[in-house]
Amino acid sequence: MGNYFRSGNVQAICRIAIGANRGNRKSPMPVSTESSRVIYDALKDGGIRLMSALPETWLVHLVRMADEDPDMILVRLAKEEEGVGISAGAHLAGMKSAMLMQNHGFLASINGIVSCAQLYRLPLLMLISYRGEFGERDPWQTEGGGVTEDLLRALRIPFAYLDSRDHVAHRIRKAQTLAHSASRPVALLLCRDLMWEEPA
Amino acid sequence: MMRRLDALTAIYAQLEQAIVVTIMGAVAAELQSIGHRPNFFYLQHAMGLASSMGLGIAAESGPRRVR
Repeated sequence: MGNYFRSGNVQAICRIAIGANRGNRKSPMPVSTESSRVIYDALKDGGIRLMSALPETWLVHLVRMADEDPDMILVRLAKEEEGVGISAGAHLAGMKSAMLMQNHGFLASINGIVSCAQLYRLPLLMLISYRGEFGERDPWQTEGGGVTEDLLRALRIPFAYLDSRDHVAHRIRKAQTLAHSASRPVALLLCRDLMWEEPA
Repeated sequence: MMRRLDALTAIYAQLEQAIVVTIMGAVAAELQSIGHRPNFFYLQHAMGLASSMGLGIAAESGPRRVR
């Protein structure tokens, strides 16, 4: 146990938990408003009328935009897996939806994806903030980052990266097209270069 | 204590105009045994997501009730 608590990652987590790193944090968070707007507009252009989300720093502007849009239904979740059922119900009723979540939320929703969306062959558009990839400074994000792509492949979920504003609209449109033609979940990974404006 | 089948029977008439989503298992079989209707959906597997699916349907269903 002593060795465990002396490991670098755990020490870093504890330092941040007690606020020792607070001085390193700039406020407000450098989440890209411009990129969030491009993503949001592309989702609207694709006919998305319902989004589900949990609080997540990288998604803060997207969630705000959905909240402020009178033509968008924003469902605030207690657990990401609920979003799978909500999107399933919305699809059965004829409404296009998208799930916004962190990759750790994707991990938490896997049974719903398999047992609901895949079993019933339902389209599901998942926008997943890709924490824990190159450039990650938060030790607690790194384990989930390391397994995200392998899990998507294991679940046979087609995915693409959103890492530049130039291709956001095009890839969201293509992802939606495949989700509906295949009647299966698809994922777009929201990458650090797109979502975070802090210099690396 | 009231049996679930009796409870379903007691509310059955009120479900005529509602979209109904059930969880899997005995409750689905019991509701069907009282009399299936086209507005009943028995969600198999997908444990724990029947209420979420009902919420998703309700988001698009206007004034029609989802139970």
